[in-house]
Amino acid sequence: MTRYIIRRILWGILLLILVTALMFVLFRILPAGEPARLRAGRNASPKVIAELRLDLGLNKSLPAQFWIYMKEVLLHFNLGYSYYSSAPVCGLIAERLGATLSLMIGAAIIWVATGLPIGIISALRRRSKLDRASMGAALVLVSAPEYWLGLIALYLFAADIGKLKIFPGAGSYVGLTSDPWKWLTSLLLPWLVLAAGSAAIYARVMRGSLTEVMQEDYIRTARAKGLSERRVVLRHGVRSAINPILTILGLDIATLLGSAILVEVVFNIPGIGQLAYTAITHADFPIVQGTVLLGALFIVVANIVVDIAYAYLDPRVRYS
Amino acid sequence: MSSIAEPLLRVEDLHVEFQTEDGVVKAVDGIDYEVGKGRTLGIVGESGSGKTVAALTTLGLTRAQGTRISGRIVFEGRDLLSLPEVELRRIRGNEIAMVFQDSLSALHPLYRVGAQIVEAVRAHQDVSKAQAKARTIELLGLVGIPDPGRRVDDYPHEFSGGMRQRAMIAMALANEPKLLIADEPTTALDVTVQAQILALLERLRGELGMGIVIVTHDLGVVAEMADEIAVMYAGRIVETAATEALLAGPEHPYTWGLLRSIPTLEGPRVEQLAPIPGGPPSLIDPPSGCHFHPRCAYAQPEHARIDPELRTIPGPPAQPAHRVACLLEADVRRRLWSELQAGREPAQALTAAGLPRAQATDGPPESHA
Repeated sequence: MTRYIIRRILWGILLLILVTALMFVLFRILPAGEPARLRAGRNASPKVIAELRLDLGLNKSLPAQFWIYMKEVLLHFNLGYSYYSSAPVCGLIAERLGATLSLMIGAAIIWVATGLPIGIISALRRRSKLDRASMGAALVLVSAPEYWLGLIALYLFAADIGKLKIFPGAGSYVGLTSDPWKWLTSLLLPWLVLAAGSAAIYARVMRGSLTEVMQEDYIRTARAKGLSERRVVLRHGVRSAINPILTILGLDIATLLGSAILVEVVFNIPGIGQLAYTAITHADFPIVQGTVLLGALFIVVANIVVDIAYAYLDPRVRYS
Repeated sequence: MSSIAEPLLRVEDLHVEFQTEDGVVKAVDGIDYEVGKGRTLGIVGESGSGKTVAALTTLGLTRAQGTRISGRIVFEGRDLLSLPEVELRRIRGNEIAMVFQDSLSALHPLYRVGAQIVEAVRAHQDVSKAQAKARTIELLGLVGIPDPGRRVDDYPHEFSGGMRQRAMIAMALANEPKLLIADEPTTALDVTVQAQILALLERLRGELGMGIVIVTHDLGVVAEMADEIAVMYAGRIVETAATEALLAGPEHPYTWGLLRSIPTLEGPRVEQLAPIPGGPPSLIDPPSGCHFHPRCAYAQPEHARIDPELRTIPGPPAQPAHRVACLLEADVRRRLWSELQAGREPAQALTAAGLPRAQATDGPPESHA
């Protein structure tokens, strides 16, 4: 098992290097605008631009630029400097990671805590009104894009522009350490928006998975032992039904960064998503690369964690 | 309350019907049987004869929306069918325990074997985890698991099929039940392991004095260990008798079919096994008259109209009574069976018994008119 984990981690590192290389090439080949020209401003003379190119290292050949970049990344964990503010990318990311993690973790807790119970109850009370209502709602939420849902939520509930002024609106984010209460209230609406789609998926998957598991012979055995129905469902049913949930949780954590970008932009939360969004519009390659690399890191780590969790949850799974 | 004559379990006129999209399935259609203390009843029938449903219903495991159950299942003076779920749960796995067919799917794949037995112990006894585990190890030893102290922490997939079935039995014995219901306990096992499991059940019955209901499609299994046999067909009991009586003088053509489809070591060597033609009938729309008539080689035209009752056969009284649900005359049946035993085919036996040729001997069972 340990050897398996080590091998997975080594492969993960290799994958991250490949991603970095790909991003590097992609952003320099695609016509995204000349960074030096963009930074220099509208009426800059060719001389200023040439100097800027020299400063930013853009005059060197592509392989040379890549070499310098990779050396910095691998040896010093330095992701380079913004073409605009010259601020270190690592610092920029670190500054904003708190907001993004707050958003992601909070949303994940909300969707697991709502989606799973709804799915369990729906599975046990199939075709009841509650089942029909929650599965109908799930279909709507799964289909709704986050940015649209975010705008609707602001329109309905934001303190400034909303019809019902319940939640703080866009741009109200405060760090956890500076004011925990404001942090919580400002994130409530973004959490709900980000969690809605996933909660709906989890409820549906849990419903399907548990419905299937409850037909298993070992559920009948559990009942024949004289266990309470509650124990049969939770200890024997849900325990087995949770595996597919783990699979999609792994995938979701990975793609969550993408959804978080949209929600951060809509709610004006100063997180990684917003950083990436601004960087893309400004052709600020080092920042774009840094955020993409972070996303890739998320995916790799989430996958390894899920694989380990599988082995832990299912004794029949043994990696070698 | 319970007199000496009162059996451990008495099933009276049990009906179990399932509502399905295609119609009402009459899985069990009015059956009666009894099991005495320390006695073994074998319920024999092919897939879809309702034998498993009858067994599950005893523990209330078929209770669900869309299921209609009627009749009485009296266990030590209490009617299990009218007991509320909470009280029934106290009996399940405690006074009445069940062993299931396929132990790989009947044990939870994600929990250790020991933990699953510990759970069964603690479901009915107020003991600590350590005490329950000690009891579990003792139980595993009792059913013949080698090195139970170590194997108790194995997962089901680390056990062999025979060991899993032993563990299943250990789980059922956890609370020393008075009645053990074994549903096809040996079907998924090798022949040698089958014999071991049957010997184990036999031994435990002697040691613990339980009543056993053994449900199987294999007449050979019950022939070895049952005191009485009930043969089920299409949700009904078509013949019931003490095991020796039933094997020595089977009365129902379906029982003949079952016996003729078992290979024997003693019988003539080149004798061909005779399968029963056709498949199990639809339980939604069962054949008219005698449910077996579309597959019966000896059926007469009127058998498609008259529904036979389960009646005691004429002759010296036996305990338990030998009863059969067949429209053929008793002496005709006896002649037919002796012809079959002499190695003749059903058609030859018919002629020898002086009956006209049957209307239909094979073809789909649904093709009744």
